[in-house]
Amino acid sequence: MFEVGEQPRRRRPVIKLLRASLMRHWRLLTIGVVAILLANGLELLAPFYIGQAVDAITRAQEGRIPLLALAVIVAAGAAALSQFVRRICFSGLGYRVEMELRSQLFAHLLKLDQGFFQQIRTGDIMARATNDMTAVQALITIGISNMGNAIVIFVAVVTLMLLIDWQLTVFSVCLFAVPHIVLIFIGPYTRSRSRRLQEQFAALTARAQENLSGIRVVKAYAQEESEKRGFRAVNQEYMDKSLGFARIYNALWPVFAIADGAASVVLLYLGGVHVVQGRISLGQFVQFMTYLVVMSGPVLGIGWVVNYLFQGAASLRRIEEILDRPPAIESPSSPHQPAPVRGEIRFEDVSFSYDGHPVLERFSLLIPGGSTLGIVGPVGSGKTTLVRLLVRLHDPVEGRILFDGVDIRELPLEWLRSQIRCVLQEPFLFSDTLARNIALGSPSPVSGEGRGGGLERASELSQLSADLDQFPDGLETVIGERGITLSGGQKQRATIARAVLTHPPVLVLDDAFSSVDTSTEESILMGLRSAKGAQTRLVIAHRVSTIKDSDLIVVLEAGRAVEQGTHSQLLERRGTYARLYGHQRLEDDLLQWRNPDGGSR
Amino acid sequence: MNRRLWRLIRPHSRLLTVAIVLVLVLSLTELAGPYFTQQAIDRYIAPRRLDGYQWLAILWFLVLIVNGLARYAQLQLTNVIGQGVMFNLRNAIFAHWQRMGVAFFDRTAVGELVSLISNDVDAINQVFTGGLILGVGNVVSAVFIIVVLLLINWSLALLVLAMAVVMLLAATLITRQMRQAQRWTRSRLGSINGFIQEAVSGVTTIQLFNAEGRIRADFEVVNQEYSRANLHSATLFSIFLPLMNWLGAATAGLLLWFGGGQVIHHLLTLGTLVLFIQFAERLTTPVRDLADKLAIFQTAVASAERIFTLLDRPATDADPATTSAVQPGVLSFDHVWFAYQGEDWVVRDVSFEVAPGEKVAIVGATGAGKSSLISVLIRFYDIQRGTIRLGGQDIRGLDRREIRRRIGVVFQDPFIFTGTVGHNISLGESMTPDRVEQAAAAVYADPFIRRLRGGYDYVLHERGSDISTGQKQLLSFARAFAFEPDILLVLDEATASVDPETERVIQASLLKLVAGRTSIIIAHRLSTIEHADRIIVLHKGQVVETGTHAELLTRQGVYSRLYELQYKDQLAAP
Repeated sequence: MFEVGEQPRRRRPVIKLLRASLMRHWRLLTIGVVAILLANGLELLAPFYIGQAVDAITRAQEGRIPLLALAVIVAAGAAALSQFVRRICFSGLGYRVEMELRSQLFAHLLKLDQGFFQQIRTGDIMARATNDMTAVQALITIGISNMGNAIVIFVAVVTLMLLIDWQLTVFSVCLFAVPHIVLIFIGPYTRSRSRRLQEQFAALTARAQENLSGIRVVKAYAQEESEKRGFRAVNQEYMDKSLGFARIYNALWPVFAIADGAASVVLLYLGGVHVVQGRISLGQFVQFMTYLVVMSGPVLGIGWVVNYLFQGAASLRRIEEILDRPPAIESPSSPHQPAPVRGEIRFEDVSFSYDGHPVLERFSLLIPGGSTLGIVGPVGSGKTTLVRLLVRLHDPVEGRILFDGVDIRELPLEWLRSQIRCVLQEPFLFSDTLARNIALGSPSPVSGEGRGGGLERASELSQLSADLDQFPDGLETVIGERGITLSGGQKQRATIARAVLTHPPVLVLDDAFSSVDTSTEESILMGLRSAKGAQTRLVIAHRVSTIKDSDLIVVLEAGRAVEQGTHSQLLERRGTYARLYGHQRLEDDLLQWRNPDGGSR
Repeated sequence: MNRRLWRLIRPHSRLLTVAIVLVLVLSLTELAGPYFTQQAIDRYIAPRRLDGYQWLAILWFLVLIVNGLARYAQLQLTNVIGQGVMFNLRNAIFAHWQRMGVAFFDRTAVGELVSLISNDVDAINQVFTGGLILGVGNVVSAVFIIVVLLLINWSLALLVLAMAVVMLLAATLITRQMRQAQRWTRSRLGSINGFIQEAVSGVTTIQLFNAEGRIRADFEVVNQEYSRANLHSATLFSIFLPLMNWLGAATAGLLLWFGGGQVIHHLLTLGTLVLFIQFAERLTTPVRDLADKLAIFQTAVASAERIFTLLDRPATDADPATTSAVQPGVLSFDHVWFAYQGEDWVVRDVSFEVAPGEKVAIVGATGAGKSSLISVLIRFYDIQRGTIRLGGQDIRGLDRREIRRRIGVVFQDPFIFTGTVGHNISLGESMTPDRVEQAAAAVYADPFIRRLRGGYDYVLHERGSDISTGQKQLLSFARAFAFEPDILLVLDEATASVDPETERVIQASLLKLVAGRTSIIIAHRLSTIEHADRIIVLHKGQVVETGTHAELLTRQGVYSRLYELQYKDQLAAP
C-alpha cells in the first residue's frame, strides 16, 4: 500500500478539495439546495390538506372535499417534481465532480516520476481512479443530498408538530430519536466490523488467486486436498465473520422499526386522548400521524447516509495522497532558452544509485554532435541508466549531464525530450492504430493530409513497411488488446518508427533490435546512417554486430567504463570486448546450424 | 437453471420454510398500524369514549415487538441460508478447479476465475437474502392488503388496485431501463479501467514522447462518456422514487375525493377511510420493491449460468475409478509424440529409458522441447502418440496423484505461496518440523532461513517478493527434498542474475538433491551435466545424441558445440 510519507495536515485539505470542487458548480448546488427546501415544504403541504379534508369530512362539508383532494394530488406532484430536481442536481453535481477529479488525478499521474510508479501497485492506482472516485460521487449524490434533505425535513416537521401540539411532539420525537442515538454509538463499531469483514473477503479472494497462480505446483506435489482444506478454512472464517456481523447488524432494522412503531403507538394513544379532550381536531391528529410517516423515511435513512459520508471522506483522502505528491522531475521554472542543436552530449562525473546500491560511479564521457556511440556490457552494468538519466526519467545523484554545453536540468523538459528520442528496451504500444502509435510524439495530430509523408518514411526507415501488407488496414490497423497482436520484432520496429518520425537530433536505441533478425537490423542501421542531416546516436546492444561500426564504443561494467575505443582498437586490446566478440561469433555459427534456412521468426 | 438453483437451496429447505412463514408473519403484523389506527378512530376517538383505550395501545405495542422479533429471526435465517449456500458453492468451485487439467488454466485468465468465486457467488446470494424470501413477502403483503380492502369496501379497493397496477407498470418499465443503463455504465467503466491501466504501464513512453496532452485528451473522451452514462442512469433513478411517491400520494387524494362523500353519507367510517389511505401508502413499498427484486434475480441468474458452466466442464485432471498401483522401476519413453495444439509437434518420436538410480541430463537449445517432456511425464498434458511407461505400466492407467507423489518436480520458476517458510517446504503435507528443517539443511537452505526473522515461521510475502531468486530456488529444492520422491525431475535452465556466492550454494544444493536418486535434469549448469550418468541431446523435439559427457565430446557433434558455447565459460567463472 502506497502512503505519502508524512501527512501532518490531514483533515483540512480534504474539505478544501471538496469545497473547491463543489464551488465550481455553485449554480447547480444552489438549485439543488432550493429544491431541497421546496420539496420538503411541498411534501408537508399534502398532509396538511389531508388533515383539512378529514376535518371537512367530520364537519360534513362535502363541497370542500374535491378541492382539498385535488390540492393533495397537486401538492404531492409539485413535491415529487422538486424531489426530482433535487436528485438531478445532486447527481449532476456528483458525477461532474467525479469526472473532474478523475481528470485531475489522471493529469497529475502523467506528471509523476518513475519513483512513484515503482512505489505503488497499478491496482492501487486503478482503485483510486475508480472506486474512490465513485465513493466521492456517492458522498455528494447520496450523502450530502440526503443528509441535507433529512435535516431540513426533521426541522420543518418538528416545528409544524410543535405548532399543533407540543406535548405530543416531545413524546414522539424522543421515542423517534432513541434509535438514532443508538446508531451514533454503534456506528463506528459496525464500520470497523464491516471493514474487517471486507478484509476477510479479500483474504478469501487472495487465497483463490494464489491457488490458481500456483496451480502447477499444487498439482505437481499432489496438494489438491490440502489446498481444498486450506480454502475451506478461509471460507469458513469468512462465513463465521459474516454471520457474526449479521447478528448485530440485523438487529438494527428491527430495533429501529420497534422504536418507530412505539412513537406511533404513543402518538395514537396520547393523540386520541387529546382529540377527546378537544385540544386538537381529528383532522390535525391525522395530519400529525402523516407527518411522522413523511419524516421517518429520510430520517431513518441517516444511518445509511452517514456511511457514505465517511467512505467518501476516506476516499477523498486517498485521492489527495496522490494529488499532493509533487513530481520529482519538472521543467525548470525559468528555463534556459534552447539554441539550434548541435547534438553534443557530455556526462560529467555522473553518479547514480538505486535503492542504496550504486549503479553509475563518476561516469564521464563526451559524445560529439553527429557521432554514433555504441555501448555494451553485461546485465546491470548501468547501460539503461545512462539513457534514463539523459532524458531525465531520473536525475543523477551527483555530477551533471550537458546537452550542447547546457545542464539538462536547466532546459525545458518537454523540449529536451523532443530533441532526444528513445527506443526503449521494452517496446510499449497502445491499443490504438499503428499510425497513432507511431505519431505519438509528433506535435501535429495525425489526421487528414500531411500525415502521409512522415509516417511512410518512418515506417520505411524502421523496416516496418515490409510487414504492412500483413495488417488488414495497413497503418490504420488497430493493435493490442482490441486489435491484432504484433510479434516482438514488429513491436520493436514500430517503436523505432515512432522515434525516428520527427528527425530528432539525438536518437537513443536501447537494446532495440533484440527481437529483430540480423539482416533487418542491418538494413535499419544502414537507413539511419544514410538519412540526411546530422544525428547523434547512442546505441546500446547485446550483439556486437549492432555497434561495431560506431565512432566510439564504450564497454560498461558495474557502472564504470572499462574499455573505450573503436571496434578495431578494442579488438587489439584483447580485453572484455574482444572476448565478447569471439563468443558471439561462435553463437552465430551455432544459430546458423540451428536454423539451416538462416532466417529467424 | 431454476432447478439447479433450487438444488443449491434444498439442503436448507427446512430453514427456508421457517423463513417464509416468518415473512408471512411479518407481512401481516406490518399491517397492524393502519388497523389499530382505524380501530382507535372508529371505536374510541370519533365516539369520544376512552375506556379501555390504553389496551389498544398496549396490544399494538405487543404486535410491534412480535414484528421486531420476527424480523430479526427472518433476517438471521435468511443470512444463515445465504451464507451456507455461498460456502458450499465456493467450496464446490474451488474443488472443481483442483480437478481441472493444466491446459484449462493455460487458456483461462486467473482474474476471470477469481471473479467467479467472489462476485458471481455473491450475486447468487442476493437471490436468497434480497430476492427470493423478501419477494415472497412483498407479494403476500400486496395480495393481503388488496384482499382486505376488497372485503371492506370494494369500490375504494378497486381504486387502490388500479393505482397499484399503474405503479407496478411504471416500476417495471423504469427498472428495465435502469438495468440497461447500468449495463452501459459498466461497460464504460471497463473502458476507463483499461485506459488507466494502459496509460500507467506506458507512462514512460508517454513522458518521453511528450504525449501527455494527447493521452489526456483521449482520456477526457472516455471519462466524459462514462459520466454521461452515469448521468443517464441517475436521471432514471431520480424519476423513479419521486414518481412512486407521487402515485402513492395521488392515491390518497383520490381516496379522499371518492371516500369523503361516502363517509359523510355514512357508507364508510372515517377510521376505515384513514385505514385505506394508510394501506395505500404501504402498498407502494412492496410494489416498488417487486420490480427491483426481479432485476436482482435476473443478475443472479446470469451469475449462476457462469458458475454452472464452469462446474459442468469435465474434470480433465481426475482419474478413472479404477487405476493400478504405481510400481517403481524403469521409466521409458516409447516413440512419444506431443503437441500443445493440433499438429505443432514439440516432442517428436522421442524414445529413451531411465533405469532406477540413473541420472540423466537433457540438454538442448531453448524451445527444443525439454520442459514439455517433464510436463507429459507428470501428466500435466497427455501425449498424442506413443507410450510413457513407469515400472512397465502405461502411466495413463495409473493414479495421477500417486505418480506426482513419486515423481518430484523442481520448477524453473519457483512458486512461493504466502505463508511461513515451513509451509512453503511442506506445502499442505503433514510433516514434522524436524523433517522440514532436515530437508532445508540437506540442500543448504537452512542458513538463509535462520537469518530471516522468525526462521521457519517467517511469513513470506505474495510470490516471495521479499526473498531473492536464488533463495526461492533453494526453498524449492528443500520442498522437493522433503517430499522424498522416487524420481526427481529438475528444470534447471538459465535463471535471472544470481550472485556468485548464491550460485555456488545452488550448485552444491542441486548435486545434493539428486544424489542417489533416479533423476532427469533439464540441465543448464555444467556441474550437473558432468555428474549425469547419461546425456540426452534434444533438438527441435527430437533426440539427436545420447551418451556420457566424454563420449559426446569426442563425437564432435551438437553437444560438443553447445559445450563450447554455453558451458566452457562456466569453468573459468569465479
